[in-house]
Amino acid sequence: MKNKVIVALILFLMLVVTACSQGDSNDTEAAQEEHELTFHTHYVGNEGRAETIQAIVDEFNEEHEGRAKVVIDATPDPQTMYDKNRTSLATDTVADIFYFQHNPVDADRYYGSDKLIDLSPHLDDGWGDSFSPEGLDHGRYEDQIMAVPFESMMVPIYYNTELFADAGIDEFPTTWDEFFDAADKLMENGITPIATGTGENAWSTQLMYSYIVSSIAGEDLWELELDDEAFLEGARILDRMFEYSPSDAVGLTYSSYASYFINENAAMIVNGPWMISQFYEQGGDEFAEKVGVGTMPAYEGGKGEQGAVIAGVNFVLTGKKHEDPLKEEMAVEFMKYLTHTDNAKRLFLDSGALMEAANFEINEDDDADRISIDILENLQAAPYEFKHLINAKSTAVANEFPSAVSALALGEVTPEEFVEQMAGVEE
Amino acid sequence: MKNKKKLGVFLFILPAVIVFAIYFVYPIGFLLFTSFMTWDGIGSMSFAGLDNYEKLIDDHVFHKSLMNTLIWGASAVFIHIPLALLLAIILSYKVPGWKFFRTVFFFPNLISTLALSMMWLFIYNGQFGLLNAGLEAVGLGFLQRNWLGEMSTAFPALIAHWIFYVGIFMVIFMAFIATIDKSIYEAAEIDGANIFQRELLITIPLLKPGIAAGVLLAITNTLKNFEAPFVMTNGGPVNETMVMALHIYRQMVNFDYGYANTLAVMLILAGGFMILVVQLVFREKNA
Repeated sequence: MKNKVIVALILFLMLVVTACSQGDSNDTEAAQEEHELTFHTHYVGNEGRAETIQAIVDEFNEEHEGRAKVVIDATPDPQTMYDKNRTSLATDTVADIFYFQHNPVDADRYYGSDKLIDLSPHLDDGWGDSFSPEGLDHGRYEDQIMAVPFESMMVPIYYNTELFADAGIDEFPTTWDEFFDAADKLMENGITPIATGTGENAWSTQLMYSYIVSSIAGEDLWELELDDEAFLEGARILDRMFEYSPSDAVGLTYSSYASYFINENAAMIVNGPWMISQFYEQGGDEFAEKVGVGTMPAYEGGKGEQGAVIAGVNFVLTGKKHEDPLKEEMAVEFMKYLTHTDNAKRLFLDSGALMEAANFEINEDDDADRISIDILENLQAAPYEFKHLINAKSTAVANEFPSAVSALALGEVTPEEFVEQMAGVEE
Repeated sequence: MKNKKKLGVFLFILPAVIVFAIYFVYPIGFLLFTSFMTWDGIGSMSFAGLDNYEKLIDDHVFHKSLMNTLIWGASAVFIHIPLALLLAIILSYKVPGWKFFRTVFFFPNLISTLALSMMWLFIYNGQFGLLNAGLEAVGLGFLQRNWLGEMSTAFPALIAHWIFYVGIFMVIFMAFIATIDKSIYEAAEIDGANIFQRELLITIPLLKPGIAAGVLLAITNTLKNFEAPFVMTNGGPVNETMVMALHIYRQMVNFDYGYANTLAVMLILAGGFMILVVQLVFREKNA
């Protein structure tokens, strides 16, 4: 009996010791728990930056194995990604790390939501030096930094030099009058002068409108009311522009009108440097060789200067606030990794994307493509930079634009009514 | 004993009541509550009184989207369902190859709306679309147009892309027809009724519960239409193809959740109205 009691006691003690050691091991595991972080991005699939972004994520995961694992939450369509960010912020289901197209109205909504990480304490270790003070201002809210600048842009007017030459046009137009003369010559040659459309967010059309109005009103165009005389004149020119656009421009989506340019059915397109990879991948080297980089033509008597460019911070990167400080730390760690100068340079060389942490040098050894270099040179030579409509105005204004501009293109409204409609939404 | 029985009944229905309250009463109550608020979905709400409802009066996009939603619902009732019924009757005669045709008609129901919308986007494309190419090939090139980009054709084209996918209702009606006693048809045939009379006077009246269910399902589906307008036209051109669900979404992404929920209340009311009309119509005929 006594022996049985001793055996039972030994077994009990063994159980307790095992349980305790198990507990310790659990605690250790908890301390070393791998934090899974979601990164919401549209850089997936055939998108020019997708491959490099995936490589950066993989490398981060490898370096932080056992501590953090970043999982890409893919939304290939950028407009849908913006919408998803907005709705998921409202429902508190926003991704751990995400970026959004900056505009001052919506940025304040994001920053004031109390749902994002305050990045200010994390910028002191040198991370903050990666960005220009003006760039960092895009994430400033009261005395906090809620987002860091992620991707910048310089939006040129790409043109097909061969189609231009075939039509007898030697140089990219420097005034709007020259622009329409060139467009007439291209039309005579059976070429659609400008690839644009009003589908989705009417991306290229709003860029063109921004260029036209800036050539009239100068760099401070967004300080004017949307029904100002400069916008009205801009609407008249934009209305004329539709005569030189694809016949199905109303409702045409980005992928379709971009293909008109890449398939050489259209001679010009306004878009960012992220399109360069498309030139090479979809058009091939031969096509990419033909792509020239043009900038804003001047408006006679206008305040704008020829060569000014749409540029500046496009996307800002931010993260979801967490109760778990370790998870938050890992999210910030990934943001630092992603925006590191080396990765910014990689993204530029691989896809032409201009990341904000752009304090890197391009050496002769670097395999930088000619179009990217042309864009950088135009940016450096630009008399001034300005933002486009979507970056400058609220989401409500941006969302109204495709509908309003479709009405303008179809002749359903006059330029006067168009600017009134836009101004009405802003109010 | 009686009280114990009552308690038993209460406990049995309690889980269902809880689920109903969480997933139905609460969301609708919240929707109704926030429709009287100014709310961006992130910050705090403020009471707006009837402002959101007054806004409906001047919102021409709401008027357009409501009208489009009603037209879409009407097309479901007057084109979609009759077409499904016609096919169900024909295939129920087990004509040669009926199984093949049943599969063909049903197949599009297995494909996501998104994929179908993408396909139709290319069919309707103004420059290289299949429809325009087909018209050109048969000598009707003068009819070519930007189907989804022109005011006069955008909404009919949007409805038309969907209206022929009648497979699901066709299968439902075929199942109903299979339950009809064959002796009724035989008796009618002996009495000299021809095929049209038999279908009109026997099949359709006996199918009435099935038709009522089909109409209700079709209407509720059209009220929720979102993917196709979102992918194919995004409500354009000039809101010509805007539907209620898409208009609600637009307000949501514009951070105007208060007004979005007001529109959602209107959608519920519109749905309730349409369902009421359907029920009244079918009840009258039953009487």
